[in-house]
Amino acid sequence: MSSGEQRGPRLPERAEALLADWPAPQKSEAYWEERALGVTNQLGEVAQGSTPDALLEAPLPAEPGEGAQPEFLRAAPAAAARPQSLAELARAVRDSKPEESLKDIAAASLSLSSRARGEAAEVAARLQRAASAAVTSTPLPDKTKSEAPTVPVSARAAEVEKDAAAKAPPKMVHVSKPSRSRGVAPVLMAAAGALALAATALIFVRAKTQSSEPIAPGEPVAAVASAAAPHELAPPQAEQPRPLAVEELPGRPGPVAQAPVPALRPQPSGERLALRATKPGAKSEKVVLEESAPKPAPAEAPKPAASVDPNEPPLRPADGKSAELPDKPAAGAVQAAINNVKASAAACIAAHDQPSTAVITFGSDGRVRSVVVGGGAANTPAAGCIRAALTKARVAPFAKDTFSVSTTIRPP
Amino acid sequence: MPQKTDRELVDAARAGDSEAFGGLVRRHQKRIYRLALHLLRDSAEAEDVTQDTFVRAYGALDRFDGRSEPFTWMYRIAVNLSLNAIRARKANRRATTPDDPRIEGLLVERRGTLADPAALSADREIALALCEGLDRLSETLRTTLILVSVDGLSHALASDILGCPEGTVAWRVHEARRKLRAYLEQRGYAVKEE
Repeated sequence: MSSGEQRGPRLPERAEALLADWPAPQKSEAYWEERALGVTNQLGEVAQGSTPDALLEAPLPAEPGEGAQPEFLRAAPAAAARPQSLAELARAVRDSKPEESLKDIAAASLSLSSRARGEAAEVAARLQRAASAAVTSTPLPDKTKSEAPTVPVSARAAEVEKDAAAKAPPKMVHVSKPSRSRGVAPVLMAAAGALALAATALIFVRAKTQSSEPIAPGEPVAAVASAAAPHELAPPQAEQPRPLAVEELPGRPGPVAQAPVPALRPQPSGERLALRATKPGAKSEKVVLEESAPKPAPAEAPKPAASVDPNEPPLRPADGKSAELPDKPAAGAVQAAINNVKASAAACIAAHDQPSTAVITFGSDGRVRSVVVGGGAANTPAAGCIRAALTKARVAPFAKDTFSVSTTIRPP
Repeated sequence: MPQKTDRELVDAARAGDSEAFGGLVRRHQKRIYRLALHLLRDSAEAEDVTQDTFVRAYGALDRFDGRSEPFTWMYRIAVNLSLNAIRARKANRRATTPDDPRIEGLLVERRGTLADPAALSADREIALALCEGLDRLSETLRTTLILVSVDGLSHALASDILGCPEGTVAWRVHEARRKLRAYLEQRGYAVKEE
């Protein structure tokens, strides 16, 4: 041990002296020479590489507590691997037994967090109850009201609001922990009532609209539907043809590709199409809008697909990103795609001396449409093998109809 | 003729000169034996481990990358072989007996310098307590303490042998000495404060 190194806690003087100068049992020089000869005599039989790797590796496991840190700091790196909520962090600090002040703060945070959670859940429950009552006109699961006659929606919503407002303080105690602060209860109740009223008004407006006129694209319901969920491209209506489908995506069929092609085109006068919401969350809009659209007369039925211009590119499944597609795949992406399969293609001509060429044509969906093999492997069984290997290449979809690239396959 | 360094001997042995490797054996066998004896507490086993250490080292010469000194590389093999031997023992040989080879060697050494039988007996007692304290340490703490405090290796060399940072060696030595001191105090060998 060098003089500058810390020895650690001092031992009793005699023990310290023994430890520092502990001799091995005495052996004669003849003994050691004999041992050395014994070893060298064995060396002829020892093959290089015969020693297991395990004997050359670092011995000894880590001692418990090695590199010790305060407990809550040591736990941090593992916990940092995943996102934590503030409540989890507070819990970790509380459980790590830090100073009393920190513990108090953590406990207070947890208490606040759980209280906020409880209130949020309560509000959500009440809103759900109010909304379901408003939409379906189903009486609340209250025994006293279950036999009551069904009332109009607006009246029912008003009743819910009134009922909630009247019963607020005592009912809150019943729903949640009795020891909780009730300071926010009136505010929450007011918010629930306002939301119930808004829902009622919305239903009322919709019902009225449904019975009178179809919904125009600019109306709030359509806006709600579009904000709530990505929906299929809206076909233009007769009165206000929407240019989105054809004009904005020239030559690119939109997400309604499963429908007949004419659905993407401006419709003849008088034809009405329904705006469809695709997400379940937009269910009410879907029902309203479909019912609002008058059924097209048989004479005005969409043109059959056969009447589409034959020069128009074929339809593809909708991906909702047509407008963002690049004209052709990126050079790097093509190179990477080919490199991924090149080794297996090269293996096809392992027995050949000459390299081969291949012209790969990708379709706009990113898949390989065709592979033309030339060079040494042309017209040999290896050509089929190369074709099969290169066909597995994939690039991202692009706008052009096809994209061809040539590559050289060299024997491995 | 100047003595060849360990590295030169290793290079010669790699080239097939078994005599050169014999030079390494003669140079380091006593230290490796002492290390093995402290780890194993058995003379016969220590002899076997010492011999095996050199044979294994010779069989791994092609994997000696020269990043460490040859003797620390052989020490590592000796520590691994000793630990393997300890783990392979069927019976738990925890108890330290008066015929412990470590104590025997100590007493042979002291007999020449301590003429007073009472002092010799006291020395024997504290040596026995020290051995018991060492045996109560974990393998990791005991091995590290033996390398540093008994064998006198620097923390850097010990870290090279054990494959851990110097700071870890320092922590282990400190921890081992703390536990050893507590044990000796328990046995009545308290540290006299100055």
